[in-house]
Amino acid sequence: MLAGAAAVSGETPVRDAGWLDGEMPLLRVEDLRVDFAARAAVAGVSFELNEGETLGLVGESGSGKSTLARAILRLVASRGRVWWRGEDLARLDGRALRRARRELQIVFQDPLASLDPRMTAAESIAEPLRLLESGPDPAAHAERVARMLARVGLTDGETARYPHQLSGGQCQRIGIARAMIGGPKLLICDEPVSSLDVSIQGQIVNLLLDLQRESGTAMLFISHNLAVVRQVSHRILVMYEGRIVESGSREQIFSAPVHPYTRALLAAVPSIP
Amino acid sequence: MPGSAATLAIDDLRVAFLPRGAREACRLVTAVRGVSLRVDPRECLGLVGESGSGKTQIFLAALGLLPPNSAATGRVRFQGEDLLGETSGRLNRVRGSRASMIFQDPMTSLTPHLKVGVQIAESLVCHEGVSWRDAERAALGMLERVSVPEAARRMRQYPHELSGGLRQRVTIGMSLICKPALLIADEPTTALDVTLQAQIIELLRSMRTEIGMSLVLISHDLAVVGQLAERIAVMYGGRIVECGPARQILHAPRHPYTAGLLECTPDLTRPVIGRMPTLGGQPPSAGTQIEGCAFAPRCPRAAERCRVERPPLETAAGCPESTVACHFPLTA
Repeated sequence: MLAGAAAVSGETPVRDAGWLDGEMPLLRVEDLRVDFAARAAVAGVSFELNEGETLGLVGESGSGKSTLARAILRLVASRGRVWWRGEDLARLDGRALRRARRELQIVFQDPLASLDPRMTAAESIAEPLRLLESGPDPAAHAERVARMLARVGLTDGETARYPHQLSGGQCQRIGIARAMIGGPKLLICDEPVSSLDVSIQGQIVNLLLDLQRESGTAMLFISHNLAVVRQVSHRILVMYEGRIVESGSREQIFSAPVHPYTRALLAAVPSIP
Repeated sequence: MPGSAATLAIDDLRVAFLPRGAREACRLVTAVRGVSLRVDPRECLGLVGESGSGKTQIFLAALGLLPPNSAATGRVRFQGEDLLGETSGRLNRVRGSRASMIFQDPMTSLTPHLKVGVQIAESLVCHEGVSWRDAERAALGMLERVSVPEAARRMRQYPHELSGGLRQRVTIGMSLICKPALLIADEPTTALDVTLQAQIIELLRSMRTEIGMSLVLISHDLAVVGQLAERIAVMYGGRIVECGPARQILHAPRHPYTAGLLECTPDLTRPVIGRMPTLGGQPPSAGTQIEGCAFAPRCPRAAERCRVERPPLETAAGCPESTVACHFPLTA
């Protein structure tokens, strides 16, 4: 499905219908399905995400949150439609796909596992620029890398270190810098702070929020930590067994949840007794 | 009760590792830098700290589970018996029968090629000389007790056939089958999501009363520890920096690190401000040489004295049951 599907093939439109009336969401997901063996990991999910918006996606492990994220990015095979800025993402290839990949980035849960152990922090951050941007200008690239390293809070000493020499929090800063350096329009954050210590989680979440404010990037923020999702999201989707069981504004989900699963999820969050 | 016999008494425990490949003793990595702790009968002690603060190493050392490239000094007394430096033969009579430990990732603490029923029954056969037949009957009862649905079928399954939540229930059942006097639960819910976390906490609560055991609950999350613990010890940089009754720690912390950690603990009752409360900086890694107070580089109250002179763990002013290691503690 990665190549060859670009040719306009008859009855299905290449352009999102919403694009015509000028009310185009950044991302529109329509009836997305992912099957693993006999089981549907994502069982028909539809939603829209607008420019600059943060959409929270919550649910327990195994509910399909990460699979949904991977399907949007074409990292797993799926059925259904993903419209990216009015274009069918599954049919993009060549230059258009490269552009979309630059615009759509992801930060993973395990910062250590998602970095190449043989690259220093600076090399890791330079890599996406090298791969995604044509017209190499080494001096300009180096300057952007240096600026991004400083922006995410890595010290001069840390930029030359390898992932195993850095803490989980510092590795996640590298992951964020890698994702942000090409200036994406949508950043998917898949449990970005779940493997970090409580005292570090806030630093990383605030870094994401600051970068978002500066760049206007939209975010799909996936987490099972409802207290974090509540602070960062405009709207929230609640996922259970591969389906969206409730969606609404932050206020509605947290103060007047309707679905029993959403209620159970909220009731289970521990607070200081 | 102070004075009466503690279930577990740890005195000035130090744990150091010689990293692989390192030859000289100067490259020793110190994980625990002199910790004293007491766990009373039937008490739940919460132990809180960041990853790398040494919380797990204390109890691995206490039960003789440290890897060969490490050394522990100090004293560990369990029900009046010295454990540190004991032979594995003698420790095996304690581990899994009178003192058990469960871990964050149940998949790595279960044997992948043995059916879970056998793994649970095994403890009874080894420690109490019960027949396999009776042990398996007891194992089935235990699986039902820890709310594993379809327990009879689960008995015949392998760990990989169970979900994460069920696996943790199985390890809890396994650790409790010999009715230990002490259970050490090391981040038992960290790998689980909130709904399962709440169920496992409830299970630990009821099993604790039923068996009448002491419980050490290790976590980086004060809200989780607060659900069960009567006393809480807070670790930072390999040392205890504050210890006291749960109410005092959670509502009137004396150490600035405890206060910062509480501030950062995610909570649904805070107002939405679109930002997370933070504690700046990073914890020291286990190998670092620490002069003065380990928290000083991140501490809003730190003065020059904190950087050069390490504050001793002393009784907190106005709080005879609590201890704190800080030159400038917060007041209630």
